[in-house]
Amino acid sequence: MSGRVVFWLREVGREDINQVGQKCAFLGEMIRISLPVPPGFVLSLSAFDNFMEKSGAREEVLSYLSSLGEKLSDLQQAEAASRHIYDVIKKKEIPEEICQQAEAAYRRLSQEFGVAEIPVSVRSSGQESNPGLFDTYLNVKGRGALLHYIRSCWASVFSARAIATRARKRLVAQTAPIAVGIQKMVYARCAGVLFTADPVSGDPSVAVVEAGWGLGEGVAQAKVTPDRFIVSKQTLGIKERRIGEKTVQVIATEQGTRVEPVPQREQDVPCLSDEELIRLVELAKKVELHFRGVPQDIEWAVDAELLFPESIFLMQTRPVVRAFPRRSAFDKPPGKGDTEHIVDLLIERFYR
Amino acid sequence: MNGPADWRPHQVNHSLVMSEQDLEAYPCWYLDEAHSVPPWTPLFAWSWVHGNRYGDLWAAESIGLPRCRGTDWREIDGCAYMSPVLVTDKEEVRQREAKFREHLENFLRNYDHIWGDVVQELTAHYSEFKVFDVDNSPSYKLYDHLEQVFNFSLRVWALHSWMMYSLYELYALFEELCREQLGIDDTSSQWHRLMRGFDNKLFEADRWLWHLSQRAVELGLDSVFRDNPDGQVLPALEETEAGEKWLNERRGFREFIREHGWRLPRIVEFNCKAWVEDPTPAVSFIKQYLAKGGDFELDARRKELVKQREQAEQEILSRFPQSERGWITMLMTAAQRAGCFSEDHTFYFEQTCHSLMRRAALACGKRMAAKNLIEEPEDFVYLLPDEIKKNIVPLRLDYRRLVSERKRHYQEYCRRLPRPALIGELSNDPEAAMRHMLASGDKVMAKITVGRAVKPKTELRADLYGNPASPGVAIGSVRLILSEADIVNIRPGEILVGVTTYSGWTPVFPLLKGIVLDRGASLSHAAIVGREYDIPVVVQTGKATSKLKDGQKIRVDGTKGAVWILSNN
Repeated sequence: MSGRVVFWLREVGREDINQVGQKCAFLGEMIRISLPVPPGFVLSLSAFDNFMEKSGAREEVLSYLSSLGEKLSDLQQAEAASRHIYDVIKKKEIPEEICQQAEAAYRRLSQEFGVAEIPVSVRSSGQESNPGLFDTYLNVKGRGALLHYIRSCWASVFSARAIATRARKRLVAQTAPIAVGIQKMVYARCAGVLFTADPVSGDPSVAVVEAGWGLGEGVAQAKVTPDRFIVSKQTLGIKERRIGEKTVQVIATEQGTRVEPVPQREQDVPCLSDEELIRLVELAKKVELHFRGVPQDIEWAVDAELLFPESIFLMQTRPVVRAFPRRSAFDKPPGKGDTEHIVDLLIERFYR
Repeated sequence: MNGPADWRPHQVNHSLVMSEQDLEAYPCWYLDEAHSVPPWTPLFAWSWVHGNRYGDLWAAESIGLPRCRGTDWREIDGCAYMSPVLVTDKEEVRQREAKFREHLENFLRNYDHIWGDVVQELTAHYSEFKVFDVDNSPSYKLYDHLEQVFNFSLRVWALHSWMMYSLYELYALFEELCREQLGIDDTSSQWHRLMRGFDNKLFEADRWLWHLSQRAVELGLDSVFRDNPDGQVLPALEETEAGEKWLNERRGFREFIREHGWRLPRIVEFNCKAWVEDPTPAVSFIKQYLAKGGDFELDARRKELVKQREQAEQEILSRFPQSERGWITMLMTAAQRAGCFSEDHTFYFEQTCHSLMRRAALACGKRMAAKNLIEEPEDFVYLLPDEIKKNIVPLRLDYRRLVSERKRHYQEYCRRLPRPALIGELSNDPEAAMRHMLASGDKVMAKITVGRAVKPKTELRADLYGNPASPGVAIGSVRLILSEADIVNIRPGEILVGVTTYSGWTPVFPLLKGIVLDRGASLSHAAIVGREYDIPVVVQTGKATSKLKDGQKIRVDGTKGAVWILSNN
């Protein structure tokens, strides 16, 4: 066994990206500065490598992919290939040691909340942030389901989109390993995303919050027109408030999630109170400051049962640099002093 | 380009005369054409290369310039050549960064205090030097005085480079920001509008001279100026009551000379009398102003320029996102200071310091001449400091032969122009030489002493192309000014054509319609003063002085950077 299989989120940080992937490393970073992140653990990148190696999946998948070669850049071909690989991986045994450790961690997480089998979310976490490329499974309960979805996350490395993308980048022969994050499930009354800078204009003085009813997947996958709030990061004043038509929501079911209509009377009601909104922006500012002022794209959720402020959770954060193609390299990160920023720019030039 | 045989020095020899070995020590040496053309006398050349070398190295180290340890300097027959000393080790660059950061943050936050302290240190020393009696003190005291003044000049150069490096970093960063984000650089008219409408210590002198010309009219003295040759005006004035009043009243001529007379006609040379010794050049300027008449040009245009500048500031700021304007305003202010500093500093640094150096060395020259060790007091400019010092206490070495050989050599090398702009390994590849210079990140070289390459706008079908340095268009007659001796020839409405200009020439700017130079960049003297006087300036044309002739009618476009010859007389 070449590396540690299980890490708790509370013990990792950004230095562990190569062990637990970016998503989980950043979650650990947020826990470090006492931000509300649902507790959980990670199956490391080496767990994935270990599985691929020992089960013989790697050899089988690679020879299959290289036989298809450049055809894979075609999305239809990639889809067929993805389905095939998915079946291959699903049939492989997870090495005993990984099973045991994953089960032990799951048991411990359950015990921490005094339940036998705690419902969790299972999310893939790659070394690079690839929003939307990998899979997420919600409301997973019990040992068998957990192992099933861990394998699904591993297989998501070979999703059709991932295969096609890698083929276009001529990365076919490599399989970027993936970690799997397992966290206590948050049954969200509402959820959404928060940008610590305006994603359109790049204005870093405001935070933009988008919110919908139910689980965050509704907003993240653009299934609804969310509520949209613009909040001044300095004064925390709400500068803009646009209530969306939230016709559907994603809710948790015994077998995962389901899209469901939102009752008429709730469709055009703001799903966040001002108090919750301000709290979210305050937390987001801490995240951004901690990540050296780099604007963040944060997923959040408000628990349906807990009381404010315990109800607020941060589910994920990642830098949004790519979301601002017109953002200037000169712009001052929030929290930086004027002189400090000017000198930063000067120094940066000395290394060109 | 001249080969090594042409520049090999003889006659004068000191440790900073370019040797064969020096030549190979750097990929390229760059001519300081902004200051050392025409070539200098030996004493000045020596003090320039020693002072600048020390000052640049000291300043770059104490600031921690990450990629440059300063500039090395050598002399070749009265001309200065320089080369940046690069820091090439990445790790070392990183180590220097911390010092640089600390210095620059402090510099940005406390600029006014820092500059105030520098001015105070300089003026305190100068006041002490000024009261020293150079003519009547015993020789050993004069020796000590000479030593002190020449030593202090090293401190002056150190502070000079320290201020320049710091400010020009900020100037260049702001330019880069404007270029990348707005497509504006230091050759754009909008940039020039942004960088003018500021007062400085040299304009104070010009305004005072103008005031003196107005007072002469009020006191009915204009005929005294008109009817006497420049050198006879002051004695003639002393003979009348009104003239005495003009000389001695508050803000009168004598007060002006006490305050602003510590300047040499060519700021960077010891071979001409300072105004405190001979105020005739000031009289000449007043005569030229009287001939022109009207209000003082600078004051008349000042309000308009300030308004234009404030407008340009608003325009530029409005093109940046609201959230960025705070620090951009701070950076813009710092960049604007670089322009003001360039002119202000001449008063506090070169003008007074060089006048005092000349005064001390000239006093030694007088004593040597009295003992027939040199022919005349002014011959001191052909001696090096050590030669002067060892002949003050005791006075007994006959330097007449040495001086006459050096004088002949000086006259000979003054005719040897133009000098190669680049020498050394990269001299045949100007682009590579430019890259080497830019690698140092030395902004002073890029903005003043060497300047940058011109991209000729050939579609204009002009006769000369340069870099725009002050916007506007003017038509006028060429007046070639190759040294301060030519200044008196300038007539109102002419266009000054030269290799470079010196801050001692500032008072003629109100008379000019435009300026065309062989060399220069956006922070050169002519560029800054031209912008303040709102006349078009084109710099870095390379060959204006060889292509243009006195009296030719030309059209100067300081917005596009081009010159057309309209007629030959």
